[in-house]
Amino acid sequence: MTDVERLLTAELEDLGARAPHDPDLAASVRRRARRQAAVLASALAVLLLVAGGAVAATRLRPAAAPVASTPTTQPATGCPTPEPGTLPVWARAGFSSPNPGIPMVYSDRGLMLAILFGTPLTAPPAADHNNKILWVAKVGAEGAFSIDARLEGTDVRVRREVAPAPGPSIVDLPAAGCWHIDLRWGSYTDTISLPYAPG
Amino acid sequence: MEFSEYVAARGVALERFAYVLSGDAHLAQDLVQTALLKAYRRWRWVARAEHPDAYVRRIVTRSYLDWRRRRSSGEQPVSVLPDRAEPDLAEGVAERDRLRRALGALSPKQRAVLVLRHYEGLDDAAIAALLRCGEGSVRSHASRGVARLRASLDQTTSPGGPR
Repeated sequence: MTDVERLLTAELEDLGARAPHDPDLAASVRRRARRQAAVLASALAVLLLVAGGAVAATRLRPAAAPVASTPTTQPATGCPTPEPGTLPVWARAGFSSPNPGIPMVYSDRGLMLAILFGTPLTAPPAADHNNKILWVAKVGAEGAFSIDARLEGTDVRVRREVAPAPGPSIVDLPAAGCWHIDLRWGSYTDTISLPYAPG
Repeated sequence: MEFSEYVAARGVALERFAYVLSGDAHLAQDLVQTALLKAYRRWRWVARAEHPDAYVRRIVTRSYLDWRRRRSSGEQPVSVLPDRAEPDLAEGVAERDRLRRALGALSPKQRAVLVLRHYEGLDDAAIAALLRCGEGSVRSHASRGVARLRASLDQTTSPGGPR
């Protein structure tokens, strides 16, 4: 082994000794697995509903008659359970640790991360904390940011101009339940589901 | 062995390996979680393997190489965070500072080969299997990598050379 290689070995050992450590690594991995499974399940559910709707429409269509109406597709039910996790690299600005211990929820396309500083989210707002959400966009952080929320199982809709751009906001919604939210910012759109507990 | 037991036993070593490989704390955590996630999904198979470490280490290494390849058209990453040495510090400290910088400037495969050889202690055959290349290629990457490190150290010890 040459002098350079000896120096290199010592340097690598030193570097390794300074590696960051996640004391709850196995749990972090399991959370990530659950999150990805939930996203996959949602995508599959939507696909099945769309496919099922198409099949139903085909079967219901009279042989020689024009289609009278377009079948509606109900969105997938169920809300993710916000859990702390590891922040993606693009959402770490301002955080001293990639594992801040704050519950978070990814949007369905993964373009937005909702970091829930006020948990649980409640309707009406809780007395001891507000419904503060930090919205972090993976792409296109510029432009007006609005949310169009629909309460699952109802026709209740709320539209809010949340901020000039994704960032911190307090999002109070009128009822408890699972809210399916269309996110719009700049030229981007995505969807996310957030649970609001009874206040 | 349960997944949790494996992570408890080998997690720190994997975190260290990923950090030595990437030189970036956040990336290292992503690499380890990505590798363990893949292992977790097929844990029964991985646990039965003779060397679960080899499987996980291979994923960490390939994920790192993929990451470097994706961003290769962009900026040069400062993959080793330098502890800046002041001019009046001992030559030994300055030398290690130069080594860290030179390490960060190696090609992804050169760095991977040197880390696998000098940190993980793998032989050329094992490295070749992990990287899916020939042993000659491993020796070539190692030789060129060491030569670049040596050149960097030699260059900076000459008068007028960069720090």
